[in-house]
Amino acid sequence: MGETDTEDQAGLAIEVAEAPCEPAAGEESPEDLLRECADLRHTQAWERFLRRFNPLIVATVVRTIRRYGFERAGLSDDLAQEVYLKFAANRARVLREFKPRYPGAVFGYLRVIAANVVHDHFKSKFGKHPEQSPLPKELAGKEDAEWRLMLRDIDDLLKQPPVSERDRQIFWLYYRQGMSAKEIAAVSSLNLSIKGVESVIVRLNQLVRKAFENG
Amino acid sequence: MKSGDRSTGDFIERLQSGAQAHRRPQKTRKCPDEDRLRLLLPGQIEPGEAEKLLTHAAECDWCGTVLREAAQDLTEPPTGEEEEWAGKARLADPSRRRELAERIVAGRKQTSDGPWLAMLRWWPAGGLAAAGTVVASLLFQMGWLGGIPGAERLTCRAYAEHRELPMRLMACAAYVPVHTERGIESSRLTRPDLLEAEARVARGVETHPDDPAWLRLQGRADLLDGKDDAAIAELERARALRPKDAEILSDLGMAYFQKAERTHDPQMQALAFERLSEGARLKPDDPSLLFNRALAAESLFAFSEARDDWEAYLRIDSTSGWAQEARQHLDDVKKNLSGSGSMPPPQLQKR
Repeated sequence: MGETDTEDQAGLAIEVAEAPCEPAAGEESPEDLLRECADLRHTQAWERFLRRFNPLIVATVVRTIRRYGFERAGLSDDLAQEVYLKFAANRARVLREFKPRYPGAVFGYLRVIAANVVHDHFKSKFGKHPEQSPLPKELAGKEDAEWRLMLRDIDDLLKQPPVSERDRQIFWLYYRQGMSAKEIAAVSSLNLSIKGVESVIVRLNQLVRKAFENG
Repeated sequence: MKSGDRSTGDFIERLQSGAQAHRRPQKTRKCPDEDRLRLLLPGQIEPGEAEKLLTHAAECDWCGTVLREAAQDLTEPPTGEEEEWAGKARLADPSRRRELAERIVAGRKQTSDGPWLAMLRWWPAGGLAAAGTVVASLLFQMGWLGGIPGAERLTCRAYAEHRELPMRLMACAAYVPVHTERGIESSRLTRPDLLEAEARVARGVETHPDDPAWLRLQGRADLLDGKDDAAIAELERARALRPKDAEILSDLGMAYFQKAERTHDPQMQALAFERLSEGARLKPDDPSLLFNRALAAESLFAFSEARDDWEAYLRIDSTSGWAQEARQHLDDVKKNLSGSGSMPPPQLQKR
């Protein structure tokens, strides 16, 4: 899969390049601004941070709140403030720990932290998780056992060379967890573009078909 | 092939439709922290750990769903409607942004430079200042200026600035009535003592990760912040390290009580009573333990025990604001014992 690794990196860096966060002429990069804010000494740096990132933070907070079926302006304002307090807590540990592994990673990072604050809020206050599909009881019997057996057989195949662990993960994220190629490519740890992910899926799809349909 | 009939139809199609039909999103003990899982997206996890997390998420329907939803949320840029919300948000107002920025920077100054340290800075002689710093540092280590007693005082102040818990924090004498309007609008931003306490405790735990006294304060700070699960985890750890500590048992009982209030779980109510009783056996005349155990007993409908504890409490303290609350509870409990009371017990009432 090495041939696809160096293609344009998809995911957060490119997909989430929100204009309001981009530095105006003469302003520092978002990474530099983060570093300056991590120092917790400069009110003006924090003001710039709030001006540039607040639209992104509020949008993320609103979207995450909706996962729980809530929609209230006051709540999103309060949680947005909680996000900034999280950024500043423990001598701005969240900001200090950020690692700019690729250009634009900062946007995804701030969004994930903002989403985590909202999830933590609902977990802590109500013990809630976003709603997930209920367990289909009628499938608990023989059909389910067959299904598990099929997964195991495919997995046995995918654990053998030349399939890498990363490609096996991608296969299951796609076919079992229902993630799209775009969503998988957003997992920056995989370091693949959307095309790279699609290429893995097509290759493993053929491998599995060949092994099982002709078997 | 090895198992089942897989030679007919489109195998991959069946795989996909089966994945939906057989999805079983159930969290297990092996599931990693979800916040950490989401950090895979912006590539903030080290490669070794990232591989383990991804392997788990690929095979676990719960974590796979968490990752999928996070990726869905983060790959799509804000919609027009979301941008509209952002435009109307409180922090869209520059004066509010300035206010928050000032608070954040001021918060750092408060938490990192105590007034005693600021004073030292202005001492005229550098030598004296240096000597003063050494003395202050020694005192800090010994717990006189800062350390555990200082952090504990801060938690008491945080409790008093916004009392949301019906129970009493041990070693916090000042009476404050319960704040009845809970809401994060009135939470951390308007609670500088809580912020400062959290920062102080975090530093303490960082340098003394296995010290039960610091762990207790961490649990206490979590409790004050409404995170009862985290509080229970920290306090249970503290209890494992120091099982016969009445203060740990008192705070732990409070944490279980708070969780019981939130979840209405009778097991949590029982655990709260049990821990507080263990604490009361160690310190039978401690007013906080008597007060708290009486509340826990009420929640279990154990009105005789509650009455005994309220009466014992009022023998120790008959004049404070706490005593007024105790008297009110005692009256209610007596009514319930005589059959004229108005249930439900306090922890089930909406506050």
